[in-house]
Amino acid sequence: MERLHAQAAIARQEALAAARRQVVAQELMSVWPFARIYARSLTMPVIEQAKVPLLNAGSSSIKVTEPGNPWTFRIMPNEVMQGVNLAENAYKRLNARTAVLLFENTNAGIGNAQVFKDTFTKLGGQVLAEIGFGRDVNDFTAIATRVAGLSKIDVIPTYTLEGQGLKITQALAQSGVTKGGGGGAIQIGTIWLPFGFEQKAGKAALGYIRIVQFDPTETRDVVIDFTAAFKAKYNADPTHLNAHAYEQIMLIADVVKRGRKDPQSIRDGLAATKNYSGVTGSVEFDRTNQNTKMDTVHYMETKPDMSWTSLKWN
Amino acid sequence: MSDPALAQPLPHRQSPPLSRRVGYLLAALAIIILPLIFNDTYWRTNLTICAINVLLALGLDFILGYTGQLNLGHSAFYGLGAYVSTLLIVKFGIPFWGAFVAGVAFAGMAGMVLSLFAVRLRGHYLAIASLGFAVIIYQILLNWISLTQGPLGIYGISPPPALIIGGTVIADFHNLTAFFYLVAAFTFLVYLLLNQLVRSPIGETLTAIREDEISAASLGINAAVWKVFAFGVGAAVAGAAGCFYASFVGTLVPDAFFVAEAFNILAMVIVGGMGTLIGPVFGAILLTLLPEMLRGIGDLRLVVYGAALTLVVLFMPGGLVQAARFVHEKFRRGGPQP
Amino acid sequence: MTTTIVLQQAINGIVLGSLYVLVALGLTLIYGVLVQINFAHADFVTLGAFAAYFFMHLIGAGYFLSIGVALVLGAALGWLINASIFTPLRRKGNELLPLIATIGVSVMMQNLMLAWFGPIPYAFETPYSSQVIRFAGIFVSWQNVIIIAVSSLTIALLYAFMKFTFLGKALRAVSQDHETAGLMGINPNQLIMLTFVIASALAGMAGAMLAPVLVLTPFAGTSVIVKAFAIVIIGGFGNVEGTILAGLIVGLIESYTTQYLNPGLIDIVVFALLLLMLAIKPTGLISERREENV
Repeated sequence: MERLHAQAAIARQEALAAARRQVVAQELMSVWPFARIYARSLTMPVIEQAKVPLLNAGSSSIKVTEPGNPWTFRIMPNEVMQGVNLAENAYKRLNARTAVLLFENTNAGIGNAQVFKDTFTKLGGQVLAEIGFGRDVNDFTAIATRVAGLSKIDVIPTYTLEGQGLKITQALAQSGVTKGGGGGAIQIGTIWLPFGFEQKAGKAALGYIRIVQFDPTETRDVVIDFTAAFKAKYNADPTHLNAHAYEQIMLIADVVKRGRKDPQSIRDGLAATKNYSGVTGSVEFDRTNQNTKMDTVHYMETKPDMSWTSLKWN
Repeated sequence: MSDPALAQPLPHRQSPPLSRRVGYLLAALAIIILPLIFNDTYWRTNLTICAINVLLALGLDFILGYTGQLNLGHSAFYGLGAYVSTLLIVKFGIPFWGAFVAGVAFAGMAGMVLSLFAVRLRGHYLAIASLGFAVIIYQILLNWISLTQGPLGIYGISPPPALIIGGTVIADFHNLTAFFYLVAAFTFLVYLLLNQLVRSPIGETLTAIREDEISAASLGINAAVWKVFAFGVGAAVAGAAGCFYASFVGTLVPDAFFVAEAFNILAMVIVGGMGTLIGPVFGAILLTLLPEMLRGIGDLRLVVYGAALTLVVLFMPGGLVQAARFVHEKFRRGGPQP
Repeated sequence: MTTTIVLQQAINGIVLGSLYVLVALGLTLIYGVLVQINFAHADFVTLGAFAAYFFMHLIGAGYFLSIGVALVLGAALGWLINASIFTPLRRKGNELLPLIATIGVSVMMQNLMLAWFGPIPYAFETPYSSQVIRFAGIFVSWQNVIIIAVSSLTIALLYAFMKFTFLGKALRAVSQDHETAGLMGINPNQLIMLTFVIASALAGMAGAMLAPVLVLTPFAGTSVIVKAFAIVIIGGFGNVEGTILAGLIVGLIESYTTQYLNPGLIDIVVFALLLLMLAIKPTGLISERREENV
C-alpha cells in the first residue's frame, strides 16, 4: 500500500512539476485562489500537450471541464451543479421567494451568481438585487445598508472569498437583515467558507446555510477513519482542502491499484472510475470528466452554539 | 529652471557608426540563435515574454526618459492594445493584422488623450493623473462585462495566421520559435525606428523639452505638440505589445493589466537605464528573467525583486547602462597609468 | 425609509472617509515638506494593522494599547525610510528616483509580509466591532464610533500643532518655501525627519484602526493607497484642510455609489473625479501652496 501511495504521489508530483514549469509566468497581484483559476486556464492546453492527467479540486468554474479536455478531471462539483442544487433547495426546502445576490467580481463569483439567478427565477423566485464588488472593497457596511433597504428578503446567496465573506456576514448581522442580527434572511453560499468560519464570525453566522465539500460528521467509515487519523497526526480538524488533497491521492492510488502505471493508462483508469467512495463523496466521471455524484454536495447550517448541523439534503 | 523631476538622466551618447552596426548584427544573431539553444517550451516562452517586455520598456522610455514625462500608467495602453485587437478578432472576425493595426492605433490615441493632461501638468501631478488614468482603464476593462467579458475572460485566442508564400508555409505561429522570431523582429524594427527618431532633430526637441520646457519655448518649440507626439508613439508601441501578448497567451483577463504592471515596466526602464535606448532592453530582459531564475526561493522571490529595485535606485540610478559605462571607463583608464 | 438609508450611508461614508483621511494626511504632510511621495506609505498602514493584531491576540493586550504600538512602529518605519532613502537621494536632486525606490520598498514589504503572514485573511476582532448602537433605524458599531472619535481627535491635535506651536509653524514654513525657511534658522533636515515620523505614525495608527474594518491581508494597503493619492490631489498637495475635506468626500462617494450604483464602480467614480479636478483645478480644492508652474 505504501508503494502504491508512493507511486501515486510520484505520478502526481511529476504532473504538478510539469505544469508548474510550463505555466506562463504572470505576477498577478491577486489572492491565490483567483490566480489558480487563471493559471489553470493557462495550464490546460499545456497539460494537453504534455499528456499528463490533471485532477482538479480547487475551482468550480465550468470552464475547467466544459471544453472537454480529456486530460483534465474534476472531483468536486462544478458551479452549475452547486448553483442549481442550491437554488432548488432554497426554493423548495426553505420556501424562499426573494433573493439578493452578493458576489465578488471574479470569474467564479460572477459565474456562480449567474447560475443561481437563472435557476431561481425559472422556478418562480425573484432576484431583488445583484450586487457585485471588487476584491479590494474596504467596507461592507455600505453594502449591508443597501441590502437592508430592500423589501423582505428570504435568502442571500453569497459568493466570495473567506476574508470578505466574514466581513459581509458581520455587516449583514449588524444591519439587522440576517438571522444572526435578528432579521429573517438566511445567508446561503458555497465552498469558500471552511470549517472554522463560525469561530471568526461569531453569532453573526447564525443560521448560515452552505454547501461544503467535506462533512466531518459523516458516519461512513472512510470519513471517520480519515478524520480520526488527521486529528491524531495534526491535532486539528481536517478542512475541505485537506480532504480534497487526500481524495486526489487516494483516487490515483486506487487507479494505480487497478493496474495502471503510466500517464495514459492512469488517465483512462480515472475516466473509468465507478462506485468509488471517498471522503468527500462518491466519484464517477461523465464524458467531460466531471464528477457527477451529487453526494459530494453537503449542506451545513450554523447552530446557535456555532457548531454545524449537517442537513442531509443529498 | 529645469523640471527637477528628471535632473540627471544619462546623456545619450552617440556610439560610432561601426560599433553600432556591429551591435545590431550581434543582436540579430542573438535573436536568431537563442531559441535554438534554449529549445524547451519553458525558456522559449520566457524569451517571447522578454521581447514583449522590451517593447513595453522602449515605449515607456520614449515618453519618460527622452521627453521627461512622468507616466505611471503605461499598463493602460498595454491593456487597450490587447483588448481592442482581440475583441475585433473574436467579435467581428477581423483578420489578425487588421486588428493589430487597429489596436496599435487605439492605444496611440489613448496615449494622446493622456498627453492632454501632460500638456497642462508636470511632475507628480502628471504621475498621479497617469496612475488615475490607468486605474480607470483597468476598471472599465474589468466592469464592462458585456463588452470585454471582464474577469470571465476571453479564451482561445489564436496566434497570427501562418505566413504562406506561394502555397508553402514559411512560418506557423503556433510554433513558439516562429512566434518569438515574429515578436523579436518587430521589437528590433521598433528599436531601429526609435533610434532614428532619437538621433534626429526630433530627438533633440524632445530632450530640450525634458531639460527645460520654458527655455525650449523660447526657442520656438511647441512643447504641447511634441508631448502629444511622444505619448502617441510610446503608447502605440505598448499597444503593439498588448496585441502580441493576447495572441501569445491565448487567454485574456483584465488582471494582466492591473496598475502594478505599470510599476514593473517602470522598474525595467529605471534598472536598465532611463534616457538611453539600450538600457530598457537589458532592463526588461533582466527583470523578466530574474523572477524566473529566482523561482526556487519561492515566496521570497518578489522580496529580492523589490530589494534589487530599491538598491539600484539608491546606488546606481543610471541602471545597467551606468554600470556598464563605469566598468568601461575603469577598463580604459586601468591601462598603463602611474 | 429613504431618509434612513441616506443618513445611514452618510455615516458609513464618514467613517470610511475618516480612515482615508488618516492615511492621506501622512502623504500630504510628507509632500508638503519634501515634495516627495512615499509609495510605501500604505504598507506602513498594513504593517501597523498586523502589529496591532499580533500585539492584541498574542500578548493579549488591550485594543487601545495596540493602537499605540502601531503608532510607534509607524514612526520607527518613517524614520528608517527617510534616513535610508529620502535623505541620501535628496542630494541628487532627482524627483523620480525616491518614488521608484519607495515602489521597490513597497514591493519588498508586501512580499515579506506575505511570506511571514500568508495570504489567508486574518480576522481582527476587537470587543467593539460587534457591539452596535441603534437609534432611529440607524446602526453604528462601537468600532466605527471609535474610528470617528480617534480620527477627529488626531486631526484636531495635528491642526492645532500646525497652527499654534513653533514646530508646527516651522513645518508650514518649510513646506511653503524651503530656502527662506533655511535662512530663518530652521533646520529643514530635522523638520523633514519630524514630518516623516509624524506622517508614518499616523499611517501605523490608521492601520490599527482599519484592521477590524478591512480584510486583513498583506495587500490591504494597496486598496487604500491609490485612493489616498487621489484624495491628496483632490484636496491639494500639501494642504491639510483640503485633504480632510477630500477624504470625507471620497468616503461619501464610496457609500453612495454602493447604494445607488454598484460597488464595482467606486474606483471609476473616484478617479474620474480626480481627473476632472486635474483638468479644471489641479491645485486642488483648497490650494494654500504658492501657485507653482503646475
